[in-house]
Amino acid sequence: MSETRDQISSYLLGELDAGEAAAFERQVEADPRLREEVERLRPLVARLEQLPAEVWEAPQPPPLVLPEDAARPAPTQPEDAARPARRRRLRLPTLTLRPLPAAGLVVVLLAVGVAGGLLIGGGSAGPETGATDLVLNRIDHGPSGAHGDVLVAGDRQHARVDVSGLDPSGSGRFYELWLLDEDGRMIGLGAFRVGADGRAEVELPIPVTPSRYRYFDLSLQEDNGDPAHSGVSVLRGPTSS
Amino acid sequence: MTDATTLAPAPWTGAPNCVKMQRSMPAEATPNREEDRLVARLRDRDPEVLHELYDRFGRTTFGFLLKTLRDRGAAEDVQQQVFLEVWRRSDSFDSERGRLLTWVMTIARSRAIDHMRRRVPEPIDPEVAARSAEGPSGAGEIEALADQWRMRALLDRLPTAQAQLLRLRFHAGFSQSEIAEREGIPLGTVKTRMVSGLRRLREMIEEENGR
Repeated sequence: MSETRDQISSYLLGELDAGEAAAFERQVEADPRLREEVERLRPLVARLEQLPAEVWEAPQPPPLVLPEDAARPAPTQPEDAARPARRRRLRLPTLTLRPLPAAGLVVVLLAVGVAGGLLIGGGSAGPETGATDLVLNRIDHGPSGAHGDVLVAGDRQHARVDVSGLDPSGSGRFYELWLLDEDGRMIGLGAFRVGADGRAEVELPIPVTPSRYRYFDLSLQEDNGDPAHSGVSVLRGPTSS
Repeated sequence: MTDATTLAPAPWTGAPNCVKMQRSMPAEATPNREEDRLVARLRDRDPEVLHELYDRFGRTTFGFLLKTLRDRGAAEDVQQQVFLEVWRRSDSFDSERGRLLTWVMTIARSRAIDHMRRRVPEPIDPEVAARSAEGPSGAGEIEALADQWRMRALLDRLPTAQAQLLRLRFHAGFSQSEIAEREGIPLGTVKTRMVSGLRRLREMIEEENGR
């Protein structure tokens, strides 16, 4: 029986030659228990053989962030026991500045900031002074070939949007440009239609600081009176170059 | 559920020698009790148990979420939501209806679907979003993925020698003879462990399915 048992894995894994497999199958036919055993394991072997490599090579998960009511105060600080539990956070080292070095640092930071600003503005500047030219790429529901540019004016208070390759909005639909931030918050900047040529060039006001949001997003909206994002994004791009 | 119920062996339909093997391995007859203890501690609001559950299932849920959502940031966010829900909803876990793994994976699956159906688009990178369009689209596909990752969690619970053997065979693609040579163990031992590992895995699947 032990020998037969050893044969089970070889048979299921296809490691028996034709003669051995035929002999084993005769045993299986003659022995209901062996047959049951083989039939129980056969689908499992098939599942394991189809298991993708990524399942075997499972990625390391991120560290668990304990819910606030699960985070416990440090046991060595009894005074903390009276305080409500807080979410565990990484403690960053505190930076202490002395007045003179601090003044120097401010100068350095200002210089770096100005230089950085020039780099950002100059690296992708449009024809307008200080303007930033940003690219929108096709996303989700966007037709292939869809493309867009957002030229944010130097004063950061309006933007020129140039899109192409889009489906005509037709009647009952329109396109809307949004700013999205990391938390999923968003603000609509304005709506427009796209004609039969799939192109549009519009200028929209920007009532907020674009850099506080991460992406420009262009959605296709139904004209149904619902002011919310339709969820049908066609173009998207970062708010910084 | 009482301990008596928990300890009752699953209905056995296999060969008698397997019954003997099951009874002779007490270490494998205890997972239900261990799971019951975990659930009891969870309900007692023991924060440490959350870490234990994360160690046990975190890799599985994260792998599933990463594959389903195709966006690491989103998978990390939903992963935290899943374990927050495990913590908050521990009272709703009913061991009569399924095992802990099934429950956690059900939460992960639900939150993944919620995330994918969310009307407000996530502020994700366009390139990532383009890839996500190629991800699973239907509930059937998501369920199939969840099934694969449940299998992964069960493989993690196999004895190390058996798990390693299955990995070498089904992931690395070695034959039993090659494994014997590579591991320096007799071919007969490889075959015996292979069958034992497959049987144990089969039993765990049946336990998960409530059979």
